[in-house]
Amino acid sequence: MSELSFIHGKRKLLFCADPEGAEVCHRLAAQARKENVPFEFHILKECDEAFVQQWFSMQKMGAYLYISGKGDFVEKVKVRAMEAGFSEHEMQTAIIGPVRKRLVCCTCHGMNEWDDQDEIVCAHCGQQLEGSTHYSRRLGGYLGYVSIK
Amino acid sequence: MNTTGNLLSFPYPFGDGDSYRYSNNAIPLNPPHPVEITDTYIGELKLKRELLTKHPERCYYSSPHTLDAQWEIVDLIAHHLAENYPDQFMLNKQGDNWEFSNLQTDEKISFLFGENTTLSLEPLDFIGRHVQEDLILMMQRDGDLFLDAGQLCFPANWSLYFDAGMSFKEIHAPIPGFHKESLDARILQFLMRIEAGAPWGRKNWSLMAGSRLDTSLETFAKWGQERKKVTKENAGKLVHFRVEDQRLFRLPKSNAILFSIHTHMLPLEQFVQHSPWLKQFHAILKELPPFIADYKGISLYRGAVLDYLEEELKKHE
Repeated sequence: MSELSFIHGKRKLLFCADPEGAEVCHRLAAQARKENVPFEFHILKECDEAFVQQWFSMQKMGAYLYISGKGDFVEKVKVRAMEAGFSEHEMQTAIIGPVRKRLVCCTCHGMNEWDDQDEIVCAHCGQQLEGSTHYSRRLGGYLGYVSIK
Repeated sequence: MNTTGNLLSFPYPFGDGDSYRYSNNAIPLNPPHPVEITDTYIGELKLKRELLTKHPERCYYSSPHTLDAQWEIVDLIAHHLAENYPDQFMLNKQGDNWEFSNLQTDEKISFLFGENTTLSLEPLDFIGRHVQEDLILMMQRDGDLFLDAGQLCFPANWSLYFDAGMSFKEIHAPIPGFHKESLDARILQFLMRIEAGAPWGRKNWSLMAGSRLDTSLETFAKWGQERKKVTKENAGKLVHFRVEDQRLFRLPKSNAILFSIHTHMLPLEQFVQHSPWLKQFHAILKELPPFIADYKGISLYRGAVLDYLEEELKKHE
């Protein structure tokens, strides 16, 4: 799990957590209150896409985002945040529990659960895939290659 | 595919020397043309448009904040085509009312420049369907370049869908040795300093088994199999020398970079007809380090190609 750290000099802090991830944000929110930095705190059972989209799109320059929760939750909220214009320099994430990796099939673009095996069979098109370290933040997954033997 | 009889018009990529390594081999582009029309124009345009229709998810990507930069690309390319190929293209402008004519395809497109709703496609997707090049748009921000839009039909085994939105270094991370001695950082710095009005060009090369232009990563399972079929006997016809003529333009208003890629291919049997190329390429291929041969996808059949080239060298002695 990555530690979240308090960033000074931001116009506003946003905390987006699922029930598991809320606790690690509380400490930072308490500090924000103490230092009179405006903040908003939302605990969501799951990534409510319409809500976060609306929430993020209302933000102005200088807003800083913390996302905390299960791997899936963090990944989905992060994608929405980046769509709304947050860069990776404007957010921190903390994953609670196991980090599940995903492999994107190079043939059909399907997403597969991946536990670092050398090879898997794509669940969508049946293609044999080799894992790699090539990672897409946009897709939240690693690239699975086809190899010719 | 380059089927021209004029062999020497092929963009041979090597300078002096009998070895090849990754480097920043860009040179000032002269003449400063973003695209080039060759005699395979109609066939390649048809193929491009078919791919874009059938596989939009792998051939086109754009992020919404790129539209202004996309219009700059339309401006650059439409003017270039009309000025340098006046018998094939026309551009009539009344203020912002533009009419672009492609005489070879017999198309006339009218639109209000800068007004997205007046085109049926996004600006980059529209102008890209009139040129043979793949067009990649890199936006510059936070001291980095990001692949934020592109029309890509003839990739050399990479995926626009997967790489979309990535930074320059992220895109190139899979290239072995590219990070060594900070080559990636130095090339990024070079790209970020490119100035408007002073474009650059470079050539990249590879070999491929087969003659497909659309060697996307998505279809690798199909075309990659050809690599297993190469022999000394069939290499001249089956194996093609593939060159990407790459050009880099700064777009002054958006401060983005246009990266155009024109892919040329020549079967080895034609390539070897020019003795100096045969000699130099034989030396380069023989010396090529395995990590580069692997990345270029040559390793499986390098031996067969070398045997073929050596036999040709004997004929030329």
